[in-house]
Amino acid sequence: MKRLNNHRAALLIAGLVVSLAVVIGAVSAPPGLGAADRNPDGSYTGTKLEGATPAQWRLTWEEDPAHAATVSWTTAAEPEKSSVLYDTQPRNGELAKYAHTATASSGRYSDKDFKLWYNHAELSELKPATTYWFVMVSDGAASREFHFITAPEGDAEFKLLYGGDSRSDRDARRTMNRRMRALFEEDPEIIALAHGGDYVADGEEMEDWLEWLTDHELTVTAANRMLPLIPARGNHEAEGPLYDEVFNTPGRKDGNFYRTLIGEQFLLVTLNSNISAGGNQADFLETVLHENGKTRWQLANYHRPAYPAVKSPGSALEHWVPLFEKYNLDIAFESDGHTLKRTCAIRGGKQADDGVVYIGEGGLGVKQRTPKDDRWYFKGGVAASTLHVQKLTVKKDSLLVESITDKGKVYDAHTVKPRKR
Amino acid sequence: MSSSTAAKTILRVAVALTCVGAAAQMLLYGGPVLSWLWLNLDWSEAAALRVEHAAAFGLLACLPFVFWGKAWPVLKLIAAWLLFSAFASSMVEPWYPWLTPGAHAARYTAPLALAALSLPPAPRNRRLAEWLLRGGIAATFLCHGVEALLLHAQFIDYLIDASAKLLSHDLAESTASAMLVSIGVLDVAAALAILLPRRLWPVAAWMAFWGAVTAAARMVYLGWPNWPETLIRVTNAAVPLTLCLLWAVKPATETEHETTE
Ligand SMILES: [Fe+2]
Repeated sequence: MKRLNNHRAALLIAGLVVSLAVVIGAVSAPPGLGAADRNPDGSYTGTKLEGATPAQWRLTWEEDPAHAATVSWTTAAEPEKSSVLYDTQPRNGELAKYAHTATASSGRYSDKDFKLWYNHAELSELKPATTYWFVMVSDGAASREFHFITAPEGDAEFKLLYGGDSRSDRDARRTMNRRMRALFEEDPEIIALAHGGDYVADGEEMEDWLEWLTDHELTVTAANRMLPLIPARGNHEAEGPLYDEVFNTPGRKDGNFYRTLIGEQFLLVTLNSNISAGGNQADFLETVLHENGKTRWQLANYHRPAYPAVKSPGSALEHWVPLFEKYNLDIAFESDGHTLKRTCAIRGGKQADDGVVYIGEGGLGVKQRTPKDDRWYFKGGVAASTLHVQKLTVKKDSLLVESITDKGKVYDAHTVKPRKR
Repeated sequence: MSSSTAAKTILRVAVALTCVGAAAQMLLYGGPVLSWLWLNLDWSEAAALRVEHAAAFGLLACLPFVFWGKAWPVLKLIAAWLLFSAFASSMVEPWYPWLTPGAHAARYTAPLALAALSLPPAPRNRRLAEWLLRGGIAATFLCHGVEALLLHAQFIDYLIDASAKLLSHDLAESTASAMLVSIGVLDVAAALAILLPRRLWPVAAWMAFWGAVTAAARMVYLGWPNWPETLIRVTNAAVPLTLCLLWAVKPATETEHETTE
């Protein structure tokens, strides 16, 4: 009887203490974002996927955007022949007038629930800083005429957008796509968008990609200028084949890491935080940074952060950060955290004026988290919970990175001066 | 101290450390339940944060009761949360999510086994505890083994990093991948061997050693801020170590009856 009472007493005390702790925990939790912070629904449905009519267009840049680009689109029927007709003059969609043709490779997206085809036309031998007018044609069905501008050559000044994490919240993604289009229309010097990964919630589901691709059409300007993409793979794209089918396998096959040179003084290294960071990729990074040692501006773009604003650090901290510091990278763009961040300049795990700055964390269309802004590397930096895109203004004597919210407000601006290289 | 008492003590410490690790993960970095409720189920961030903070405080409050035998139902509460957390992980983890609940098995079976060991020392309770421990560690090793065979990128980096730090040797990715396949085969073999009717204590001893190495790797790799990740995995070593101790002495020869706890 006494034992039974002892047991009851133990349970009673345990029950009271644990319940009390649970209540204290719940009450003391940080406030977070409420449902009222969501964005309103958009009504856009995109170009209808019907027969061989080109829809869901996108244009990707890889190693040499002054001379090459890939135009890609989706069709609902298997095309016998797909191509891009292009010219340096507008031809208003009159197919016979375009000077050049690039034949596209086509294939069925690897999702058996959808009968849809990708089409990739690789345009090469392009002239730098030149406007190209083009139409996509599949089995005689043509898109309207679009245009894009190739990257500049030489010691050029230009602007570039960076952002990541356009998954999970479609309303927010559309809002941000409209924001990017507004920036692109306002400022024709913007040449492309570097994406930090996590385009969709499940990168192995075509359904998610269809929504993303449809929404991506919103980044095209009213004058039909297309925003080129420089893509990085995020953890939500996992190792699935759809990412390569959507973006025509950017970078090395089974690796998706590569370097992009814009002009002769701007290097962007795109890395893949889904695969081994320390093996072939670290070797590649070291080679590229070594070979481009004299390039004035050196940046990297990858998904999982070394200096995260919310979660714990990824492998980049161990394998890439030492190389960034050795070769004096200017800025590393990081996504994944769903918050806006800019760290202080970091070297050797400490604030240092000559260190590397880590910017981003992903705000292109996912609910934003409350950042852990008390981490040491935000002293002298920024951490905030807002949808955002970064705009880079690349000049000879400065590199300005502005973090722009979904409302178009400049939330943070950071200027980097050229290093002695 | 009998082997059974030692086994229980080890499990108690391991479960307590797991609670600290799980609570710290939620408070410092945010856990899978937050992501699942907020991003997948569309809760508000405030509500999802409240749930995780409440759970973290709850786990910490459970600590003293882990060491008080009579409060054993608290252990079921801990197991329930850890199981729920494993389930939430599988909902938000994009890389082979179906492996996650199995990979976490040692975490949530350890408190259940401890609860069974805290009951009166009947052979039935002891058998139940033993099979919970065996099943839990087998599932954890099996799933980690499969992850290794699938060439989990993080595991490749652990090998490259360990080779650089411990041997000052620059390990090629292809070599690391080949080593990972062998490790995967070894893990799967250990998982199957621990389930054999015959009690193979050397297998349990190997699993305890390897569980400790891989748990510690989390902290060695990315430094001390990663300590919650190591604590969460303490049971990967403690569960097979407990089996070792339980198997060191046959139940029939156990002399000490523990009714005093
Ligand atoms: Fe991510």
